[in-house]
Amino acid sequence: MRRLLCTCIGLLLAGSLAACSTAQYAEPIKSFSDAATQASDAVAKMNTALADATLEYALRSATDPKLGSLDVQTSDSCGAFVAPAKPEDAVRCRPEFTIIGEGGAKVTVTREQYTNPMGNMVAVTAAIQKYAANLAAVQADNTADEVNTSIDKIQANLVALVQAADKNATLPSDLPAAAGEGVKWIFGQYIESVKFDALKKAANAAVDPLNKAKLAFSGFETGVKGQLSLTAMRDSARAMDERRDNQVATNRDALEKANAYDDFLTAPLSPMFDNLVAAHDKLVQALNGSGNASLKNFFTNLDQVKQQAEQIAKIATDIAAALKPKTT
Amino acid sequence: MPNDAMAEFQQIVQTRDTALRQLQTVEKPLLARIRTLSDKRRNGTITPSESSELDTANQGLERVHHGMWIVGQISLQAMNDSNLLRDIVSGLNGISDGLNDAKQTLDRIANVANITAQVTSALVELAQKVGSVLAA
Repeated sequence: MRRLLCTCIGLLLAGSLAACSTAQYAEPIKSFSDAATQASDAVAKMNTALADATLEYALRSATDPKLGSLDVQTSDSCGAFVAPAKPEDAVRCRPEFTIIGEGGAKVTVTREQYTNPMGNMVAVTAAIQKYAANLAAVQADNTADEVNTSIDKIQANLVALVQAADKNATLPSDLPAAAGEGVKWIFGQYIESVKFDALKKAANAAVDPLNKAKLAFSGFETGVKGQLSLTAMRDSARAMDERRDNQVATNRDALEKANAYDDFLTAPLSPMFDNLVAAHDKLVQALNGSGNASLKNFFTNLDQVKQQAEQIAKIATDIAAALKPKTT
Repeated sequence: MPNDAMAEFQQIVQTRDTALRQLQTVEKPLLARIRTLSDKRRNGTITPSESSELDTANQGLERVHHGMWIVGQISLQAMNDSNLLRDIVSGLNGISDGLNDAKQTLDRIANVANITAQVTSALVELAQKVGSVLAA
């Protein structure tokens, strides 16, 4: 009777824990994490390109008093060095640009804006990267293996313990192994259920911030492209008009610049992010119960993220090269 | 609060887009005129007055683009400082913390099994010592 009761409890427990394996999500989650890293790197490179272009524009504008100036923020006290008790008490000498527009409109360009203009957007992509890495860490967790090893040891110890207490004790040869496998299975199911619940809860919670990030990225795309069109890509944008003669060399130069500008205009900043979020949505659907059917186009989305991240990184490198002073 | 952050961000984007659209109404005819006159210059058919007009159009375009740069710069700064980005980062970091908690739960399970194995191992050693003492 007691054995029957134990068997029933075991079956009920096993039933409640079954069907929660995370193994099938190992590859999708790892791929998502890798894609998030690539996207984050591409955004960081674009941030650097924008920083360089902003500084270049501000420096150029500051040479014309009608367009801008370069000054020290607290010009009265700057330069009066007094050894401060604490670093935060130091007299600051922060240089900054003031760019003047039509009608006297002014914009201040501080160090942050010409070194890290999209700093908080970079922080968003870094947070996505961290989330994706943690998702992968939970999925890849090897607690079940560690527990299995420990159970093997416990089992061997228990057998040794019985034999130490009574050298004449005999144990049915298959009993300890069978019991150990049962415990391992129950533990394994429990561990998988902890992992699955954590992944499902996290992925569902990430839907809202990721959709907001998609919207933010779309807003940034226009801004970044606009600023770079007017600065680093300015010569390229005007290359076809600037050909004064119709010679092969000048036409070739203009052609290269115009093509570079066209590539830049179609740089997939926002689509890269759309694909990353679309892949995540499919992962969420799969975790919510639709299984692998939701992952049908998942890897296509991530392949596109990879290609788009490479494209953006190349454009950012080209922009950096375009901004380097020409040595003749 | 999150809706406010979203509304704030969308307002920045809309204001920027409206300003840029207005500037584009000035930019487009200038660009078209510059293109026509540049073609003439390249073909050697530009007149002195057209050459002067080209210079003026280029200067005008510079001014429009400078205005566009200022609009773009102000909006980029506002977007980067927006509450929306802070909300996203804090939301995602909270989720990451939850995943870390789950990882710690798993580590604790492994730890319990590991300690149990160590305890039973120590018990075996003890039992073997007791056994040998009793045998002696």
